[in-house]
Amino acid sequence: MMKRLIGLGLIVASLSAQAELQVSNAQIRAVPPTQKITAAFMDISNNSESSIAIVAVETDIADSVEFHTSIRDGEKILMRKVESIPVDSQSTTALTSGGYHLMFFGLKRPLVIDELIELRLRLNDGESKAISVPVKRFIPIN
Amino acid sequence: MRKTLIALLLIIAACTGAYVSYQYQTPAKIPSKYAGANIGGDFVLASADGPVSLAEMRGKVVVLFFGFTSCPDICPTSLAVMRQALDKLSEKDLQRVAGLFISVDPERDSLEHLKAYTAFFSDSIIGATGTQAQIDGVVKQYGAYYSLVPLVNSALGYTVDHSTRIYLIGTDGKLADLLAHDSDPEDLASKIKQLIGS
Repeated sequence: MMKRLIGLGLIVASLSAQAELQVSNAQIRAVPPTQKITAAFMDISNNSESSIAIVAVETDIADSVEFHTSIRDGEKILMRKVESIPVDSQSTTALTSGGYHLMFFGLKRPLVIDELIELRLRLNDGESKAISVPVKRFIPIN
Repeated sequence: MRKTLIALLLIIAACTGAYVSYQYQTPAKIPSKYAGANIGGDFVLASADGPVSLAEMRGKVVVLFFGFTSCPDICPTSLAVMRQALDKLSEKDLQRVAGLFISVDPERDSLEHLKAYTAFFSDSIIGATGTQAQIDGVVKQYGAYYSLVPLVNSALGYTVDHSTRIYLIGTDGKLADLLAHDSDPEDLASKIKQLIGS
């Protein structure tokens, strides 16, 4: 009985973890057909009591996906790879031009403007979240 | 004697360190006032459609940006700003403006690839590059900055740290203004119109 309860508790907990991660304003940048690299931007909100991190992204459209961040240093901008993207408890992490972004390498086919690309975000707690992200020509500037 | 020698060595080490960090931390300074500033000037680079010579673009406003096509964020943002600004111009004004995207990464950006890349944003934007010496020359002339930086465990291999200004060159070939790469396209368009005199 106790085991069942714990099991049920775990299921409920995992469902709520997913429900409490919200992704909005997600967009993938349209690129020329010859270009094998692109980036995605979005706002990731974590309404749960525990901080999480996005540790991997799965997709069919690219060979690999990495996390990068652009850092302003006076007049210049540096881009660096990061291993994960943190989303603190009760807060939103913006993946935006000039900051964090997902970087796609080895695009397997040209992306069509406005098509929806399926991504699965893998979290550090073992959970994952599937999202559909439209391809956009112009990414709004914050 | 020994103490003096050690002190001397420490001073030399400190000075060398200071010099090296100064070199590293100081990208080319961009003056706050551009009129009469000693940056800018003519150059010749290569494009898929032949040489690109700034001197031969007199009479046109040139919107210049230094970047590289593997850049996923800043460069496409600046080119999208250019595109949206160009969209706000009349057909007549469009004849008097040229976008110019200079790749500082000729190793990865072939002329054909550059052409396909810039054409995606606008046919009015030319993709140009050159030998490392040519690129370094133009970068220096315009007080820009770039540096190739290896990225560990990344499919990108190396990235390019770079300055991010959009340069506005007047119809006389002189540098007229500098804008942020993520400027309001409306603002860029009105500055272009002003320089054309329309």
